[in-house]
Amino acid sequence: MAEGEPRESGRPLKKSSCASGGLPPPSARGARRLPPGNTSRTSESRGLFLRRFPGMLLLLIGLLSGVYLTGCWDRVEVESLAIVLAVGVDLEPQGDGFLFTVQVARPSLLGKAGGGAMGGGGGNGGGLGQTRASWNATLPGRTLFEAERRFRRQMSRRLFLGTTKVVVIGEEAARQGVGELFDYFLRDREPRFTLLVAVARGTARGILSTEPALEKTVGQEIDLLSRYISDDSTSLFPDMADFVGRLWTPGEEAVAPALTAYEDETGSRRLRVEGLAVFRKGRLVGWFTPQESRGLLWVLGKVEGGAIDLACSQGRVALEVTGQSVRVQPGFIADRPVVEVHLRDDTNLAEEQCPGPVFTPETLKAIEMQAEDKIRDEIMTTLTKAQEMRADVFGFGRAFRGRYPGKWREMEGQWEEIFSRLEVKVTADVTIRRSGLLTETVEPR
Amino acid sequence: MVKISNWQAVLIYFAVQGASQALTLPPVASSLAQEGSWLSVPVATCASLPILGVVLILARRFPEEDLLQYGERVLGHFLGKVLGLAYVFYFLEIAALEVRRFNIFLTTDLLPQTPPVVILVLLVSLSASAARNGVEVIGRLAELFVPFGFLFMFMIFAVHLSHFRAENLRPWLGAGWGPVLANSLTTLPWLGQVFLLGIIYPVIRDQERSGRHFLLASISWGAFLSLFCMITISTFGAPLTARLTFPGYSLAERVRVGGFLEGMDVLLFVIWVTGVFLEISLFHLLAAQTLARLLHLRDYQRLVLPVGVLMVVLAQIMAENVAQLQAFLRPAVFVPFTLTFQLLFPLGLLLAAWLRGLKGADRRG
Repeated sequence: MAEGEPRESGRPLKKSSCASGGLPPPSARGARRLPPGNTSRTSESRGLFLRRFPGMLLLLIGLLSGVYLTGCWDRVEVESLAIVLAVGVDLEPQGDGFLFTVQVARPSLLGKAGGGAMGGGGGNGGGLGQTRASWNATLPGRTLFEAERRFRRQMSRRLFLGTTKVVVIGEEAARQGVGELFDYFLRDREPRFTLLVAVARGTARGILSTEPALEKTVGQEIDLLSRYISDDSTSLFPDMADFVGRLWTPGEEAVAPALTAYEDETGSRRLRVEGLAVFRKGRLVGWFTPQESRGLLWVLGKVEGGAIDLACSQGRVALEVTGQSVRVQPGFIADRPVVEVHLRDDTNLAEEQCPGPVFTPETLKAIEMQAEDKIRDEIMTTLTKAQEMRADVFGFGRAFRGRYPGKWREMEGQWEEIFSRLEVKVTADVTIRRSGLLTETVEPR
Repeated sequence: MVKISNWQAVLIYFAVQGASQALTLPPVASSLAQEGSWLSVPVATCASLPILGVVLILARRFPEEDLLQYGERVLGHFLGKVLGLAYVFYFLEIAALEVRRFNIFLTTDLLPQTPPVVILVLLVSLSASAARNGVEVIGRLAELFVPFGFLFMFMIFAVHLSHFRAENLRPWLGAGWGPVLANSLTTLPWLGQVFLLGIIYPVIRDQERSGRHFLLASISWGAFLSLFCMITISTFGAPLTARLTFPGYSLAERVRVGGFLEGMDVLLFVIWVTGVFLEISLFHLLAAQTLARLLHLRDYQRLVLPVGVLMVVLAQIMAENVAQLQAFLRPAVFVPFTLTFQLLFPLGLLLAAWLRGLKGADRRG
């Protein structure tokens, strides 16, 4: 490009206009003659650009200097951010808006080995006098946005929600309805669709102020809990897109993991997942115990692991679920809606304490049949409970809507009523595939 | 004369389509057809094929001349000029619309503190420089950028396909074909931009094969967009998708593979910016060229900067807020507006040329 420069020298008049104005008037840009040096290119316009290069350069420098000299407007230094790991939403005690809790990381302590895993509870400076790797702050606001902006009054850094892993909704707030809460999290540009949704038994603030057992902060702990809960399949961590999608989808109710605080032997408050929170029309209407939650997960096809506990001759057998496929088939019998659920489950023999030979096709078949009954029972128990709550968490309505859109339009208005009396037939097909590293169990002579 | 290949023209077309639709995904932006809204893409694609047919027949009649040249021959001096002016306005308006949407997206999601005018001026000066250098440069840039765009998009698709939720797509035709057809009207104005291929026809090197290429391009874009919409609906469900301002962007944002692959939204943004740049460059070039022809200027280059200034200003004043912009883009307004230029005028020209028996000079050798 540099060779464009000497070519310019043939035309001093025009060059000066470039230098003075930066942006030469169009009238100065005539002279379509190609300079003698420029022979290679067929395109005249390209030659023109090269000849105008100093002018364009000046223009570019002029424009960019506006950026460089004043600093980029949207430049963000990590050190200037208050990195949020988790947020909690509770109702304001006087019923006037919300209490917005943010859990902010203290990066300097996050890095230290063992830094904040133990630490003073809730800023009271107990424990070993170490501060935690995170700091919780709670402020009220009529809207979440108002509360979020209020944090500026007490935070030396800009609150950054882009790293938020989880939003915990307090029980009361969930009962009042979660639809309006998510407007903020979806509309704001920072929170991501992948952030997890959970419901606190009690207040969200209480859950966020528990002490993390293995991780440095509660936010990280919940995020990692969500990863491994599938080994137990007693809860489900929808992300925001999933959860809100379910709120909007007709014929399907939302669920979210229930988080509860407990005291461990050392007297510290810890946190655990305990089944599911059940919503109806965006309002919390009840809870599923871990057992009941698995009844739901069977139908949703989300059981990826977990033990099926069965009895054998004189002991117990545990099967581990390894894979699952589900077919939900809506239909009508004499104009009455009926749903058939077919499950196929692959399992491993995870543990057996039965004396006598077990590892034969016949005995295994008997165990499989037991397991099928057990799964059916679990599903039916959950179904009964969901029907009492009139919350179609299974998405049966949606199955009807997908299959029979016309009939669904007739049923939609009274779906809750129909669901509460819906007949569901479950067939399960369990296969034991493997038995681990052992065939028969340990039997001392 | 500067020429581009069919392949480059097709890539430019993809850039135009991608830039105008990849983030906002017009087909799924309304809750009209719900789960079946992606079906309106094939419908709109079919509806856009006659547009392609008309402009191609017209362009083949006058293979060496641009719109204004044969416009003046067919319609006479005055009407031809009016037509040219109308097209200048159309190119400017669409370019400004894209500049404005670019602006909205940037200030909403990525650079809220930065004065939009800075970004717009940078974008338009870049497009001005591309436009000055002519269609060949735009074609080559398209060759450089667009394949990467598709590569990234298919990466995003692949991630979402692995947890494709078919139940989110059912029922396809919950309320019959009515809403699907109505919804296709929101997509048609964008797919109708296929008429641009007829506009740039005179600069194409291998015109004999253009027809097949363009037809394939049009159909494959339709297929790609259908897939895009399908995956978006399957990921978010129809109700949420319809409420998102930038469903395509949200789709990329939701990518989360294990603990290591996240933040694909920035990647999508990068390819989208190059697409917007290409699209705006093309409209910039077309507006400047048509205007130069209109004013009997020997070269259009000197008009590039003034046209750019017009674009920036028009983008700023065309709507007060997003809601106003959306009102302009709703089918009742936008479909007649675009169809006038995409179908009505070319069809009129074609009929007039046919009735008057006018034909362009045959291509040399």
